[in-house]
Amino acid sequence: MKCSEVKFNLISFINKELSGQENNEIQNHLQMCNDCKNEHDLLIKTYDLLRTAENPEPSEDFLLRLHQKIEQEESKKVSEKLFLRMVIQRVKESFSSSLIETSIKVVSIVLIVLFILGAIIPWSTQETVYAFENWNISKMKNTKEISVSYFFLNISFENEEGRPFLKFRVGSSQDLF
Amino acid sequence: MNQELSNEQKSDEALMESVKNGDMTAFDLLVKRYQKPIVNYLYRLTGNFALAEDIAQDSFLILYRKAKLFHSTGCFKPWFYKIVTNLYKQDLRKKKFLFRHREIVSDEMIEFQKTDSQSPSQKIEEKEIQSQIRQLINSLPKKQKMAVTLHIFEEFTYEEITDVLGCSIGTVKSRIHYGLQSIKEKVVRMNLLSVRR
Repeated sequence: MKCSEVKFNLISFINKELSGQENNEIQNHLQMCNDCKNEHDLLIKTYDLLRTAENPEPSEDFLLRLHQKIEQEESKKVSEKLFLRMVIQRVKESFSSSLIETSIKVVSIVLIVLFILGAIIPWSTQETVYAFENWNISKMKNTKEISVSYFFLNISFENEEGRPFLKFRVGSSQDLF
Repeated sequence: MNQELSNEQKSDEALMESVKNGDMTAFDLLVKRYQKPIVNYLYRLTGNFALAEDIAQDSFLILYRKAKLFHSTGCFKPWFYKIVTNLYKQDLRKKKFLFRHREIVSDEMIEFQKTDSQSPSQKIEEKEIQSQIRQLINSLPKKQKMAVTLHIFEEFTYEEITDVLGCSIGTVKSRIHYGLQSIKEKVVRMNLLSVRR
């Protein structure tokens, strides 16, 4: 075995982690090679020195503090569970009515919001009246006075041929001109 | 009382089985068995005793919370040391992220246990040597430090270190080899062996 190989395996040799044959080879080498023998002795002394390192005791209240942490964590978990249960209960209550009822509610809310939006958008007074009096897009298209508007809301209940037809459109007023 | 006596004779793995079923006495016994080695392991890695205790507390908290994840066929010690090591790495990453990371070479002095029979000058000398040993370990790169600490102080086998650090045996061997070589060179340079005689 070469010196470099022996030196690399010295730690395993000291810790008796080598096979019988490798162990014997290194032992024989150490008897002949002073350089490797010195390296081996130095390594053992380093081990011995490191093993004299202090082993301080943990604080006396280590376990007590740990118990406190566990208790805190468990009470936090319980309150989180309670909160989650409460939220689920509330959501269940609010959705207890039938699906149709809920959909009607949602649609009405959306319509109201859109109507309010339409009212607060900065149309000029005249144009606002015109826009809300005439739900027909074509008329609005011909109106050249409308200059500044951002959205339009168009709901018509009959198409151009006079047949019943529901049309609902929201968009930028730029689409109109 | 009887249960406590029988618990004390139980292996770590058997105690963990009891912890899984919510046995707090078994958990306390595990803490008592491992609090000192774990705090010292972390003290060697961090160089700061208060921080070591904090991470150790968090490790035991995780042990309690995740007890169900322990496989009854596995070996407790490397499994738990893996949790501890991961928490240490996490703490290190957090500090790096917050730009507050410094290589902690703490000069804090923990009262050494053997000092009672020593003269004041011997105590000072002992403290000095202890501080130098801490610095020797702290001077190693993080990965070498973990491998060397597990090898020398916790007396883990290469296979166990492999489990804890999640790398191959070859990597573990080379980290220990280069880590110890580096310490040995510094020991010679600092003339620590002759002081120790």
